[in-house]
Amino acid sequence: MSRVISVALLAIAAGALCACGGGGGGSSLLTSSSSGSSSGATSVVNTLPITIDGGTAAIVQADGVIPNFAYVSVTICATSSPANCQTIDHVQIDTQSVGLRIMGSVLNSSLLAALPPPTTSGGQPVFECAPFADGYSWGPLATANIELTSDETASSVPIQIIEDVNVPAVPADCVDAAGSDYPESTPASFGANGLLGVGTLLQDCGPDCAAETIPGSYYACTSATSSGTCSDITMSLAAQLQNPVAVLASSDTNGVAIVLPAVSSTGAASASGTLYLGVGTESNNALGSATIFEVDNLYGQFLDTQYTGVDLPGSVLDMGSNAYYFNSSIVPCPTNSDYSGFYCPSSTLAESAAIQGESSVTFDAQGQIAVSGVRTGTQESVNFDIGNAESFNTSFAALPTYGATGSSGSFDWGLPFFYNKTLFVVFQGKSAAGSSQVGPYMAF
Amino acid sequence: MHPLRSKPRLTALLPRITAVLLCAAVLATPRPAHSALGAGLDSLVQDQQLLGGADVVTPMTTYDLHEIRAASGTTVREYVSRQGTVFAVGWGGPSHPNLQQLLGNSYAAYQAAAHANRRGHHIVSIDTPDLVASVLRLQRTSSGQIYVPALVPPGVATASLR
Repeated sequence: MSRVISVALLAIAAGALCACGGGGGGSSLLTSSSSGSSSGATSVVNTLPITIDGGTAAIVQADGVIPNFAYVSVTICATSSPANCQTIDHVQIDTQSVGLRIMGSVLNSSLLAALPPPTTSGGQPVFECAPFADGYSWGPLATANIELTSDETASSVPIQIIEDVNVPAVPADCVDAAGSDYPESTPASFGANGLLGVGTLLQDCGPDCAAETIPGSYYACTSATSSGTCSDITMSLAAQLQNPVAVLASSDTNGVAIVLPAVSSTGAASASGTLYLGVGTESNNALGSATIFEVDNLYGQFLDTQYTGVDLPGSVLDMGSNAYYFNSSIVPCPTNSDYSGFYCPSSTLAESAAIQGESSVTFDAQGQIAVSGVRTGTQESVNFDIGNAESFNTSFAALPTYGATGSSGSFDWGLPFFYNKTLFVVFQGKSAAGSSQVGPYMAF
Repeated sequence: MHPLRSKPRLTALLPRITAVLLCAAVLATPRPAHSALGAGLDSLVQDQQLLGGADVVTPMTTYDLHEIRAASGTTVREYVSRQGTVFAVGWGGPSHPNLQQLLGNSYAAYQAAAHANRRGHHIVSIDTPDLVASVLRLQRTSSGQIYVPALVPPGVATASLR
């Protein structure tokens, strides 16, 4: 068992079953322990406390807590005046997107003014559209210095400032690409003050955006103000949103480890965990005996799940979604209830599935995800519980048995999967001490 | 303004959603609409033109399956009843279809239900009496299935609508 897991278990034991206690306790325990592995230096602070607390008043407004959103705090600074910094709390962690995005409305005016968008060779400010399942986020890029911890910094990194005030109107093809005219441009509509995308890829769009214009991606605008109009542009890989961890100045750039505690099946008011930067690079982030699951090398996201005899090759480990999303014969909540779409079994059900890596996938002529390479590595059995969504305490932010219907051909292992686990993400083209496997892969 | 995790609001919206969908069902004879779900075959021709792909039709027992492979590499599937009504749509590929076009009159109900309970940034999961939808939207891919239960022909297993 890896050191991260064993120490996490210690932390859990110390905090008993109350997941709301002792936030970030794991990291101090970890740095005090020694290890014989890899590169030595144990004084580097490579940990960020994770909180699952349901959000702030500004985020949740009148809607009650947001269940199973995991937040960290991130500091960003102006490149032109490096002491002009602001720490942004409640930035959501996501393992299925890449790049740092911050709501412009949470930035102070001094820092916002010091973060002008980068420009094209023709001098036009660059904007981005980030389409999500339930809306889009629009706004300028900025080139900022990022401080994930006091020791883990990155200089001049492209990030997105999500904004819909005093900026050009969102282009029609951004709305089309999102499939939704719903703007997620405020902490309340987004559910967070920002998004820290630490998926397996190094850029958000990748080679496609460097080769051709992709609707709903990058834009050059005639002005950065509301008078501007915007057109699709190509973006070089280096100018795209970068995986913030991969561009750190430290040696902890090959991936992350995410540790969340065990939580009672009936939930908890909140939970605390730890985000470790690097995999096998420090004394506290060793891969250990974790099982490796290769994810497809084209989209950098898919692995295989077998559930009730059905093969689901379009499955993902997705910290940015807040439940287990999968199709099952489990009793659904009434279709006219507030929880329609979620599962409502009369008692908590013990379920089982098997996860396996896959090297490449394709969309077949019918638009179904098909494995075009091979399933690779160990097939690992995973046990999970599904509770009655209507029965949960609505003030609880940590709900480990939250489940809902999902998309055909896919099992979306959302945040509940991450409880009581150490999940490693190793980036594309990178490897970690203890394994010869080259990323993209995930491991647990 | 927008319903987020506002539980009371979904219930409040249901009569309106029902009305919208009833209209869609009533008007389901072929007509020149830039819509698909709940509309007639005309909308499919338009979808085909907008998507820039050939329409491959596979006759099934009680419906026709139309598959249009867009230039982007995404395949859109439209399920058309013997009465000529699109009762389900699905897609998969690197790009997301234009749901305002694909869902037509059901789009407003889709949007309301999609924001009625917060799920995260990659998932839409709707199971109301009027609309059932599952969407997985990741950074570089999108797939989904959406249907109107009242329009599904008798004998068609909804699990087969992919």
